[in-house]
Amino acid sequence: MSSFLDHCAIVGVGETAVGKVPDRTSIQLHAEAIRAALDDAGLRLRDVDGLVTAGSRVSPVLYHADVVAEYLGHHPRHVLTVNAGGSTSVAAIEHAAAMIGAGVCEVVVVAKADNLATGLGRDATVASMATIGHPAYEGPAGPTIPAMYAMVARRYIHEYGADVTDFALVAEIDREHARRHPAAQFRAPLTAQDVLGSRLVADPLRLLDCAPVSDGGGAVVLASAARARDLPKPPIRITGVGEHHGYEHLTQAGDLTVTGAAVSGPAAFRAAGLTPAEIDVAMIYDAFSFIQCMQLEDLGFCPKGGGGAFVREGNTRLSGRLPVNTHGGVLSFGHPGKPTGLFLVSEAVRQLRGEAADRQVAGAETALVHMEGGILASHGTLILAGDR
Amino acid sequence: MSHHQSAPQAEPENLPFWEGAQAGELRVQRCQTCGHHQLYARLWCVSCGGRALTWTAVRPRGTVYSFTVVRRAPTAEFAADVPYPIALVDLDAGPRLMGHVVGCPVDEVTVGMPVGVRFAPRQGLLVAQFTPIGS
Repeated sequence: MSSFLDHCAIVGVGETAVGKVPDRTSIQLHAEAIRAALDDAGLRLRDVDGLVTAGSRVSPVLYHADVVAEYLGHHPRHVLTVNAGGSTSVAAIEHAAAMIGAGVCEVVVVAKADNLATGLGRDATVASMATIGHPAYEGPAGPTIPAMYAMVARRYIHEYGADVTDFALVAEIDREHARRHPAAQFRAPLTAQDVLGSRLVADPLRLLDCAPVSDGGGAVVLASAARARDLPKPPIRITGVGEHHGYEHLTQAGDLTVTGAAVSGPAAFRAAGLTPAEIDVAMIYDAFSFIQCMQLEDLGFCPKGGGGAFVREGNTRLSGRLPVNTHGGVLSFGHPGKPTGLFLVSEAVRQLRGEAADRQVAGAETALVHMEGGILASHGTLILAGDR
Repeated sequence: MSHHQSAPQAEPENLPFWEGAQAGELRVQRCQTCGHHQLYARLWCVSCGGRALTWTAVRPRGTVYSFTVVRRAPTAEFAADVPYPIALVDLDAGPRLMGHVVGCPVDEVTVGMPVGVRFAPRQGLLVAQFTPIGS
């Protein structure tokens, strides 16, 4: 079955420093991430004819991608700012692939960066993100982002008997992986017991169940298949993509225990002609520990309600059947906002190229990347394949 | 109290909800074609697409779908309230509401708990609150 995805490949990935990066503005982080990804691809700025960005929470502007292009001193024919929350990266990569597949562009850069930790600060970031609640019907209750996710977790526990000790184990395993990644924000040892002993933020979620607030940026370069053939790194093909956008405000969701991953995942698998058992490594957006368990279920890696057991049985460890978040996940690699999804993509690309050093999954040929935005509201799944 | 004081950033489309709150009523938008109830207000029914919509008072009762206890406030204006329980409540009439649970200790809120809905003033606004009721 032919697809627009056949005509392009991911040819470059790059990140800036992630964590606290006090000497960089959001736009500088964009520029550095783009430079790193183009260097990785063996391309120059002048080769880029498409640029997609997703704005900055710290330094909001009206036409963000145009501001970035102007800062770079390069003016691609196609420049676009997009936003689908935490799943923006899948939507943006799908868009870039479509522009290449349609013959409109040859080399498209998707870049995202922000300096939430030092540019905005944690308290202001928490307050800013809480505005996701409906201004009239939700905001007056004072819900934080962790509180809204906590209500999903509570219902998940209620319906499926999910266990907070399994959630804590997700954070432990992410940290184990982050300890093997020199650029991860958090690399000190962390155990599930540490997570269970950290203070409650919004029951049942504890501080170490929650993603940090970080600075940093990432970029991904897509090129036409013809162009990709001449570049130094092996092209990584996008063999499947799926999206689902079910709601924006939490009170408008129906069943909170089955997420849009149960739609976006199967769509991506159908496009790729693969089953979950054929995936070698997965990157799953876990801004809160428990959502990794739910997404593993909804993506079809285990039965509904079996996510905790799947993690407990060791499947998601580097030595397991399906290593997950080998870079440390959202919880330990870092979370500057929208760039976070691109970190999942770049880690998957490095695994498929065999460049993941101490955290390499031997012989990885297929990878799944899943991310979500809002309160599990928008979902995007990519399936990637190496050319090794 | 004027509408503007009692309605948190209410667009005109949602004013009947806040007018109801002032009158001590829980009002939802009702589709005259299929009977679907919805909140927030739209120009058409999201269930059948019907455009004939009215506002109707419904029984102020529901069931806790899920809840949490906020231990760290989003902004300074909520700092004095922590810990406070927030619930998602499925109204008997259909729509889901978010609000504080009052009238019981924070650790006694449970999924499935039947609650009543009332409106209480908070910093110049009227906001929906849930109180436990005997089932």
